[in-house]
This record gives sequence, structure tokens and C-alpha cells, in this order.
Amino acid sequence: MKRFTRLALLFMLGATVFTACKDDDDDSVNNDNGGTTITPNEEELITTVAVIYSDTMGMAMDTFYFRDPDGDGGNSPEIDTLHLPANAVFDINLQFLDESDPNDVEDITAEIQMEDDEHFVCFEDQAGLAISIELRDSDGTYPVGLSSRWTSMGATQGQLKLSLKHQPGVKDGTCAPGDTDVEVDFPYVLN
Amino acid sequence: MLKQLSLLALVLWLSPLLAQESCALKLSGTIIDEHDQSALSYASIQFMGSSKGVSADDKGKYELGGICPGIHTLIITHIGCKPDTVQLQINQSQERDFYLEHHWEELKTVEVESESDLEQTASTVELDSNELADSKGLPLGEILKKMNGVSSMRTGSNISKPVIQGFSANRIQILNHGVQHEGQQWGDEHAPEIDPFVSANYRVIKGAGAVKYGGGALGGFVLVEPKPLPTKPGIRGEWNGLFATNNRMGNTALMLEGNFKQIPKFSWRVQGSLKKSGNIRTPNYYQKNTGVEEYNLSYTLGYKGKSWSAQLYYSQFNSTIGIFSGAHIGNLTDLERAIERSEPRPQDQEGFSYQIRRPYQLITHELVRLELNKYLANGGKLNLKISRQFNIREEFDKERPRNRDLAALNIPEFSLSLESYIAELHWELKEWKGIQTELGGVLNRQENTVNSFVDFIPDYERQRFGIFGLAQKTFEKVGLEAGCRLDQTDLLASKLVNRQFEEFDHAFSAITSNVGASYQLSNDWKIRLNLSYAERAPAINELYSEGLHHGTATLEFGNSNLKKEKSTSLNIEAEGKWKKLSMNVQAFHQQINDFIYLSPQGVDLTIRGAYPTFDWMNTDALMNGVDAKLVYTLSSALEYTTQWNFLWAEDLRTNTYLVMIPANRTQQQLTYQWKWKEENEAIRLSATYQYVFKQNRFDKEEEIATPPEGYGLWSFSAAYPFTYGSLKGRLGLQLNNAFNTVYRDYMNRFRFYTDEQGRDLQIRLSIKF
Repeated sequence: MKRFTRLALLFMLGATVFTACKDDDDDSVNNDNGGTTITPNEEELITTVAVIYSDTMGMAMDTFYFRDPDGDGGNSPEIDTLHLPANAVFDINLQFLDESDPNDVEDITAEIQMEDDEHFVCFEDQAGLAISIELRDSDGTYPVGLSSRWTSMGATQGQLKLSLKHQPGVKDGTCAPGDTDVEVDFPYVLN
Repeated sequence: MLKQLSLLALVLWLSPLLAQESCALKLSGTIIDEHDQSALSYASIQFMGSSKGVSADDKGKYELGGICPGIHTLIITHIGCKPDTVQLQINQSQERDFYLEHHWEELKTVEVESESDLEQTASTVELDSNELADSKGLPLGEILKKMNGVSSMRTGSNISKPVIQGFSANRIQILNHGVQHEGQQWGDEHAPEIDPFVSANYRVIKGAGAVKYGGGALGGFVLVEPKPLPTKPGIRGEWNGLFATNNRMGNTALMLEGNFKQIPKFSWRVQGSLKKSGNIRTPNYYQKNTGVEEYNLSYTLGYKGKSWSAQLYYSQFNSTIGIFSGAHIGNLTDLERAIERSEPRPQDQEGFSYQIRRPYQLITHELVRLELNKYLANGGKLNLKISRQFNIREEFDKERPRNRDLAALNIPEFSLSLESYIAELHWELKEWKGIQTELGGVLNRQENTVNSFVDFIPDYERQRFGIFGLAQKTFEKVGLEAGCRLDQTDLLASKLVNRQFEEFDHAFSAITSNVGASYQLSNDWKIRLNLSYAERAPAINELYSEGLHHGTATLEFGNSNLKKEKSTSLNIEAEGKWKKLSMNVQAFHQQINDFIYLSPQGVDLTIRGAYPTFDWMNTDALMNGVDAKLVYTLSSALEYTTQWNFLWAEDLRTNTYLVMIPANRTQQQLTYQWKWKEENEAIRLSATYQYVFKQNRFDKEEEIATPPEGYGLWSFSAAYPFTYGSLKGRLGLQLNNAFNTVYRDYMNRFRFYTDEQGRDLQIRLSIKF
């Protein structure tokens, strides 16, 4: 009799392991092939960078875009040229958007602002001297870069590299630490 | 120099002493009927090419004495059986049971501790018992790497995939307990999900020729085999423990097996293992977040009737693998900065910690297999295997979503679940006019579901139907073999295009065929020749991958117009010995038409900057290689082994080189065995030097960075087998990268970010009871 108890125990052990694992699999999210449902784990994409120009009085406004709504690969991004006044002082505000679904455009800027101690925007004028940029917002310790005041020199043109750095726990007010979330080159014309 | 001289002096002084005990080794054990486990009384066992040999007693027990150390070929026979041969390396007295499949009288029947097989003319490599014992607890890819001609492709130090004849991933097949292992093997950073403690033996069959195991494995097959279930009544077991100093890894495994006197036909085995390791230390810094946790369990239930047997096997593999945080990058600029840095940023070097944070992989694999064997009255055999596998892979990125509600859910950014069913029937026919034949068929259904928004590969369903036949005939000195296999694959992919699922249908047929011959030149020399033609249907990632490859900052795009690969290969192997030198040399030549590879397509602009883009394309490729191993027996105690591996690969259409091809390498090893008491097993000491050359055969346009320099590593090992009462144990010490050499390896995908692991002392204890 004893041996059968042992045997039964062994089988039961096997059975539990078996079912436990099957359950595990059923728990996982199943998306239905052929349907249009997308799983709850929607990835956060940034598809669009908006550069919003305004004069220091907040009167004249203009918006320039870097747009890649279909994400990596596929169609090439559309990039506006920044047409900005020469020998002037003006304000630039940034917006980051998810336009992958045209019916549901999401503004990621608010989320960046909520975690402003982990984010930092870097501007790099490829020519070097045409524009000087002063970051005007702060996370309490370091600037963030979503809003800035620019001073332009004489009429010229060039390239401006704009990058959004994700620097959780390592932000030090420079561009070096962290990983790059956004990196776009805008051509600009000062006239 | 002085040190070397004194070592030489020591060796010279010792050798006459050692010579005295040469040719005094003993081999003993039992010759057993593989099918009903009864002893084969009066079976005979003798050395090939000499009259030396013995007959087993009425209980099948035999004892052979006066054996010189070295490789020996034994012929084992039993009434009604054709003589058959087993090659064994004997360096110390040992017990070895031989299993003879008695029902299968005229076929090749003897195999050491494994299922019966027809002899392959394809090159086969195995680990000897010492190599096996010294690699207990390592990941599968690192164990196989110890074989001649097998290397590994790694992602950091914890993820390792075997590379055979230059091929990995989709081009090799792993058979775990006879079942084709089905995971997300297309991924370079997806290691095989197999508990290495489960297996008693590993075999690698090089080339695509072994048609009975599967089709389209251009690199070869890895067979992960358990030991046979016990047949003697009682409960026995084995405990293994491993501690490694570098990453403070603790790894322990327990196996219990038994058979009840009252029901002798029923046997069982349960087994489990636990592993935990922390941050890996390179010579100069720790790699942050490189810990691993793993727990695995398995059981086997077996029943052996008079003319049939059944076996149920269940295994579960669970692993959490930390991914080095310094290998996480946002874009190409980040990658370029990482390559420029001589060491990771301070935030990616932390002290020692067991904690696993993002990024990490969470993997579960489950296998259930039922195997039935029916021994037919006419001498044939039927073997049926039905199995189910689950593979759940979840990959967590370094950063959670910016949205705090989403972040709180802690959902993997990439998640796949794979479910596959395989039914396979093999029929070994009755021998006819000296020809042994085996036929078989397999049905395989696989369903892959993407559970995350990131769909690097799409959802798909795959049906595969395969049939094969093989025949073999053995003459006095010549063995001939031929085999053919046909696989039909139907693939239905459901891919997200513009936020809508679209369905794509593919059908591929693939032929694998093989002819081979072996020739016994003399008692000591044998030549094997194998010619095979194999086709491989494109895999899901080659057809439909889309997206960013983390870690290499490249965009990868599948190509649904890919043609299947067509490979023609020739393998030649010579094996033998001359005086005190024994050797095995394998050479291969493989031409693959429509070879599927990632072709650079310039750069694509994205919102994170420009990325190099690669498309899957067809080309023609050529692979040539040589794997050589020479063993020189200096004395009965001292042995010198040298191993050389060369591989040349090129793209014939563009006259360029292929990427991720292992660099040439060589290994020198000196092994010393010392026996301080006659009844004890010998203590074993060895020193190994491995040199890996720089991969000079590369094209700048295809590489992300110049391949790293060559490197040489010293390792030392010591093993002490002992007996304590009824317990048999083995204590092993293994010192890897003994001089804390700083190096990077071309086949490691994290070579851009970090140096390799520094000095590591592994302490192993194994106890059989």
C-alpha cells in the first residue's frame, strides 16, 4: 500500500506543476489576430517635435515641426526649416507629441514636465555662433529646456541639433549623462 | 624561464615513476540489454586489433585489466549480434556499463549511455566525463563551447548561444530529450532555455546531414541527452553545488531517482536546480545589473514492458536575466560615445549587488513529452514522441513609460508567447540484406503571440510536416549511408500595418539529403566522408522583423520576398593514432546559395537621429573550416592536448566577408593525473591556454566597430574524486582568466560597452548517493 501512496504523491506533484504553468500562460494578454485591438501596453512614442516661436511680447507666433508619424523606417520624416528673425531676441517653446494615431494625438510634453528632474533638452548650433540660447525653465535645481530665450546674430543659415536627454538620477545640467530620447537636426535661416 | 625549467625538471623526474604504473588501468562494469535492462550473460568485450579481451560472467559483469592510458576501441559482442565498436578515452580505472539493444540484433547496437543510433558519417563531438564534470552548472552555450569546433555567440556574460561551423540561431537545431527545442531562437540575445543540470550527455553533430533529427540545420545539431532511468531497486541520487567567486554565483541541483522492488518495470526521476548570481566583475570594474536568477525542475516517469516502453518527461525552466545597464543606449550618438569610452560610465559601474533591475529578461520554458517505444516481433522498432512546449519571453526596457499610470503597471516592453506541439514517429525496419533502414514523419505546429506594443516579429502560426528515410549498410571495412528528408512549412503571419492587422501567407518546401561513407583504413585509422544538400526556409524574423535592435542601434527590416537557402556541403574527418599521438581532424566546405543575411542599407532618419539600417537579403556564401585536435600521451600520467579551429567565410556575390563569424582560435592543454593510492581514482590537474586571434576578415561598412584585438587566457583546474562510505564525490576547482586579462571578444554583442569577465574561481562539489 505504501508504495502506491508514494506513487500517488509523485503524480500529484506532477499535476500541480503542470496546471500551475498552464494558468500562467492563460494569464498573458492575448491579442486577437485579424482584429484591430491593440494591447493595453501601448508604447509611448514621440513622433513629433514642435518648435514654437514667439516674440518677447508674446505677440507674433509661428510653429515649426519635425514629424515622423509612422515611426522608425517607412516614410522619411518631414522637417521644417526654422525661419527666424536676424539680430533679434525671441522665445522658443517646445512640444513633444505622439501623432502615430491621427485620431488620438497625445501631448507628451506634460509627462516630460512632470518628470522634469529626469529630462534635459540640449541645443547645439552646428555653425557655432549664430544663435545664443538661454534656458528659462527649471526643475528646481537644473534647467529643463522646454522654454528658452534665443538671441540671434546677423542674417545667416545653418543647422541646429535639438536633443531630449533622459537622465534619471544622473542629471547634472549637461548633455553628457543619460540616454537620448529625441535627436533631430533643424535647418535654420536667419533673415 | 626558471619556472618553466623547474616544471620540466619535475616532469622529467616524475615520468619514470609514473611509467611504472602505466598499462595498469582497469575497466569494469556490466553489459546490459538496453530494452529490458537484463544483464547479458557471457557477452564478450575485447580490444580492437588485439586478442586481449574477456567474457562477461553470467550476470553480465566484466573486468578488463592491464589497459594503457589513451584512446581505445572496444568490440562488444553477444550471441546473435554482429561485433560492434565503441571508442573510449581511458585515463583512469573506471566502471562503465554498456547497453546493448538485444532486440535489434543485427543492427549497430552499442552505445554508451544513450539511445541507440545508426552510426553517423557526419562529424560528431562529445565531452568526456572530466569535461562534463568541470562544466556542471554553466549555461548550455558555455558547456558546448568546450567541444572542438563549437564556439559561442554571447550577449554580455550571461546569454550564450552555441555556434557550430560558423552558424548559430536559426541554422542549428537543439534536440532536448529527443524533442526539437522551440523557443525564440532567432534572437541573438535569446539563449537556449534548457537547464544544463538535466542532461548527462551532450553531443554535437556537425553539418546538416543528420536527416532524422530535422531539416535545414546548416550548422548542425545539438543533442541534449538524459541518462537512462535506473533499473535497480532503491533510491539513488546526485547533488551538485557550484560557487563562483567573480559574480558570487551559487548554483545547486538535486536529482533523485529510483525503482521499486515491487514494481520493477516502473522507474522515476525528479530533479531541480536553483541559481543566483550577482554583478559580473571585469578586471577593473563591476558591470551593473548583470545578475541572474534561475529555478528549474523536471521529472521523468518510465515504464518498461516486455516489448514496449513508455516515458513521460516534464521540465520547466524559469530565468530572470539582468542586462548590463551600460549596454542600453538611445541612439547612434550614444552608441558612438559608448564605443569611444574605454570603460562604462560611472553610473553603469556599481559595486557588487545581487539586485536585478531594468533592463532584464524574464523567461519561462515548459516541455512535456511522452515517448513510446514498441519492439516489433520481426526485429523492428517504432518510436513515437508527442510533445508540447510553452515559451514565454518578456523583455523589460531600462526605462518605464513616462506616463506614471502605465509605469506603475511594470509591463514588459516586449513580450512573446510561443506554444508548439510536435508529434514524431520513427520506424526502424527489420534488416534486409544487410541494409538497415529507418523511416519517420513529424508534424509540428507552432503559434506565436505578441503581447506587447513593440512587435519586432509579428504574430504567426506555423505548420510543418516532414518525412525522412535513411539507410545504412556496413561491409567489412566500409560503411555507407544515405538519407533524405522533405519538410513542408506553412506560415501565416499577422502583422500590424498602419495600425491594422494584415495577414501574410507563405509556403516553403525544403529538401535535405545526405550520402556518406566511412572507411576503416587500419585498426587505428578511420576516415569519414559526408556530402549533403540542404534547404532552409526563411525564419519569421528574416521575413517580418521590423524595428530597432537594442544594443546595436540598428534598424532591422524583414523581407517577405526571401528565397530559401540552398546549401551544399562536404565534411571529411580523419581519426586515429600513431604511437603516442592520437588525433581527430575535421574539415568542411559549405556553399550556400541564397544565403540569408542582414545587408547594410545606409542610414534611416528617425526622431532619435540617424540609424544604420539593415535589410534581410539573399546572397551566396562560402564557408570553409578546419577543426583539429591532437592528443599526445607523454606518460601514463601526463597528457598534452592541442586544438586548432579555423574558419573562413565570405560573401560570393559582393566579394566581402560575413559578419559575426568566430575568429580563428587555438588551445593548448597539459593534464596531469596523480594517484596516491591504488584503489582511489586519480587526482587531475590541468593548465589550459587559449588564444583567440583577432577577426581580420571583416568589412568596415558592415561592422559597427572594428573587431577587438586577439587575446590569450590561462585557466587552471583541479579535480579530486573521493569516496566516503557509500558516497562518491568529486571536488573540482576551476580558475578561469587566471591573470585577470582585460579583453573583449568579437562574438560578444556587448563588446562595444564593456570588457569581459575577469578572474573567476569556480568551486564544484558533486556527490552521488
